[in-house]
Amino acid sequence: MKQRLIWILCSAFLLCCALGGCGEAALLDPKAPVTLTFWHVYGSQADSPMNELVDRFNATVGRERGVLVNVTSVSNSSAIHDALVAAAHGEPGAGELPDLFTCYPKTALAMGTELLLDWNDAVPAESREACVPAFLAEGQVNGAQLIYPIAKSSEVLFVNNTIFFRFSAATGITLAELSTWEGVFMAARAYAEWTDALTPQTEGDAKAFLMLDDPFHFMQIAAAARGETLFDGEAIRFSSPAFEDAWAMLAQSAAEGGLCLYGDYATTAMMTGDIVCGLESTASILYYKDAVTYPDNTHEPLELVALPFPAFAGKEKTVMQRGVGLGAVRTTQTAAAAAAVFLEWITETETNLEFVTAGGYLPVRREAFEALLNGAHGTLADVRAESLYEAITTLYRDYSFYTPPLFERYGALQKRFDSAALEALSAARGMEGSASAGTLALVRAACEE
Amino acid sequence: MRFRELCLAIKAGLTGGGKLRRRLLAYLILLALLLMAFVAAALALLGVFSTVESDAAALLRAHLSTYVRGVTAHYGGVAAQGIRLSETLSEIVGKHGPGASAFNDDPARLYAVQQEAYAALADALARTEASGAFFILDATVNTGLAEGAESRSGVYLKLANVNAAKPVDAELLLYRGAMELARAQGISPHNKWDLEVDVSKLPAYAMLKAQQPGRLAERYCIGNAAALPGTWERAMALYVPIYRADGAFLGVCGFEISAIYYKHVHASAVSDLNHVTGVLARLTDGGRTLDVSAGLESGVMDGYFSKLGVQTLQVARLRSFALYAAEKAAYIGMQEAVSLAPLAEDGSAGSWTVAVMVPKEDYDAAVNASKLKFFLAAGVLFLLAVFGSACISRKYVLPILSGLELLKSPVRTERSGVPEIDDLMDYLAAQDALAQKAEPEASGNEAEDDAAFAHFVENTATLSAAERAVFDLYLKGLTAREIAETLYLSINTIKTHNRRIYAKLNVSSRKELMAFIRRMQAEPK
Repeated sequence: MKQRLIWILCSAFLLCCALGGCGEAALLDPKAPVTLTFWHVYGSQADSPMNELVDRFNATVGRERGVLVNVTSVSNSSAIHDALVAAAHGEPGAGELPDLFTCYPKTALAMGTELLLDWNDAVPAESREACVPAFLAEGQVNGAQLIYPIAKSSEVLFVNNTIFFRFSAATGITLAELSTWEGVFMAARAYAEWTDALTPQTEGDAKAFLMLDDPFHFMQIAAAARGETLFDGEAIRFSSPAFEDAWAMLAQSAAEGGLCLYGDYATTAMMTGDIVCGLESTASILYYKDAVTYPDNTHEPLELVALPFPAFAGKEKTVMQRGVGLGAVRTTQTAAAAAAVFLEWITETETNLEFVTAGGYLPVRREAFEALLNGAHGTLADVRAESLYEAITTLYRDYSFYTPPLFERYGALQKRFDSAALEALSAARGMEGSASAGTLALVRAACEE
Repeated sequence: MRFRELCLAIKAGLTGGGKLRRRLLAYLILLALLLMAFVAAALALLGVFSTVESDAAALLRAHLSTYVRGVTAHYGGVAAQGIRLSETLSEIVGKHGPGASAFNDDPARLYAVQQEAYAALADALARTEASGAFFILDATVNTGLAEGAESRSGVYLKLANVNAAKPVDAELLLYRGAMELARAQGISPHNKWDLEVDVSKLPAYAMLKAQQPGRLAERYCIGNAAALPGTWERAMALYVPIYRADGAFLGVCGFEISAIYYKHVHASAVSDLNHVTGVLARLTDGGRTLDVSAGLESGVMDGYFSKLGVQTLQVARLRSFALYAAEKAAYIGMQEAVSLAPLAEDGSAGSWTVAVMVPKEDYDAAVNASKLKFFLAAGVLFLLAVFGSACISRKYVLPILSGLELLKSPVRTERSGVPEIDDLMDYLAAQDALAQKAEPEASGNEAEDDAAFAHFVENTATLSAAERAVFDLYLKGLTAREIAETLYLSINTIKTHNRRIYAKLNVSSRKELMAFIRRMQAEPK
């Protein structure tokens, strides 16, 4: 009787251990892998680092744990925002929502937060605690971790040093002048005058010096550098000194012809030699070719130099914190467990460091972050990469990081402002009187419609 | 009955000499096994056991048929649009110059034809299942450059975002063409934009240029999949030559089908084949090698897609499928040759192969699962047969054994219920009666009989422990053989004990012994 009782207790104990230890193991089965469809934005580069990582995951950890990631779309952050929102709302022709996607937190709000997985339920606490807190905070909505950081970025000034060298030799203006916005706009004025003077027989062919990928970001940083905010609730404070002063810089430069107003990305204007420098995401580095192509099909090597985001003279050095994160659609426990396996792998220190340094990003865990700042530049081996990570190191050592506010209208407001700003600034050259006041009125009117 | 006893019973039953019930059980189990073997042989002859193979073959055949139709229709549609585009572009080019060479070193003329070609390309792309459309004019903006020999002007439009088979309101990117064209049309340049196309990287261009002019339907080709210059994307392209009315070569146009776009268009509907991969590839080496790097792959709609991750697969024929093997993976599947274009990029006949395949480990798992089910079913059937046999043998033999017990009792008045045993009981009773009549008469001296009986009873105390054990079992009515089995002794040992017992108890026969035993049992203790 006693022996039978011992057998029963042992069996019950083993059964409990088996059931209790199964958890995620019971949900995932290597012989019947869970497939997760994935939309991401890490394309448009020569070798998409994310696609390579996905292939590697599928062949290693994914195969062992029973998870298969299938990339079904590669685009850019604005296209993916529109596509995700359309799919989330079930718009005709929108396609099925993917299981995983990369996006900004504003996209999560626009999609509807109830659709999304709270990563707090799927990722163990110790993994979350290993992340840089500010990176996690950016993706939180009402305490739920809807967007999980996988690679962060910031903003730097990329300079075509081949052209700048010629300009510098002619005018004496050096790269050091570009450490402040005042210096940048001064150089822009000088460049417009210099290029116009190169062809005295042709009037008005001054070339632009600078392009901003995100004028809305520029204005927010201008306000934050003064310790202020650009926003009054969900509206822009057009009448604030912060806005007026920063806008005046842009309007003046646009009127002088130093500011490029093409409306696409600075990298494309750099490709044709239409500008000398662009204010862009650090991740833009892989978008650059090695040469500029001119309209006569001649090519000139593009020596690319990255400089820290210029400061506003006398104000606190402030720079934007950027970078999409990983979101997941809330479906089954099995899908959540599979998504967590992929997320943990891609944010694990070594893998994350390899991924981010292949693309001009920053890692998300404190440990990897500190290694990067101490010189672990990973797979980026060329001179432009060294330049970029020096600039990033300066940002993280000397600057304060700014995160845009999170509200549902933010994405739409950003689009409207950027579009209105370009249109208004394009009118600056032909304006009589103050270009600043005139264009400010235009952009305000367009945004407040 | 425990397993060991069962085995002994079967062995004893089959070799003879075992108890009645064990022998019957053994024969019943043997009968059950024979029946199961006959049924299994019949099922095997009828092909029931090749269910997994035939089911898989049927599913693969259905998938392949659908996939072939889909790929053929897709590329046929793209080819038709390409021919139409070529005719349109021929007219457009003709409006702006007498021949391709007229456009050399003339940026204004080149831009003018690009502007008009843009509208034709955008329109064609909107109507065609493709991820890009292009037009390459056999001219360059700067013949003075060293690379001018291989640089050609043109327009190449790509879909910016492919996340479904038919993207609505698709944003376009300019991959090749004048930058002012992008700005004028309000589209963004591709991040790896360049002004002109390097045709040294397009074998199809040189091949089509060298071809004699002819009907467009006989002159277009499909190029092998390759990485788009400067990008991570792999794509195939369909190329159609553009001729002037007199047959002079003007350039090439066509459509791009990227790997992601192909994946969307040709994703299989969800079916019993969960891990199916569809492949468009070239068959080389006499049909022994499937060059998957030349083509594209697709998986299951909004689901499974696992890149083959190899350049080639070795093909071997199996009974119902083909085996596709690489160094670290193997697949089973089926293939079919398709004709998608009259020419390949090297000018040879444009033959392609479409294949559908599943990981061999999936198929092996299904086969093993089927075998396991069969063996489990056979095992359960066998256990049921043994249990049934045990029940039947018990039910059948129990009355017989009860009847045999009744035979042993000295007073046989109860009937066994088994007619044969009841007959035997009657016969034995008659024999006993005869025997008793034939027994030597009592000496007439009651005192002598009593003395002999008393001597018999007294001498039972002289029996050894072993002899006493045997004697006690005689008292219980067991036969010598039964005593041997009960005491696990041989029959010879029992006979030896019998001799000693007879000697000690002064009896000369079993009959005499049993007579004294009956008197012992009849007398009160």
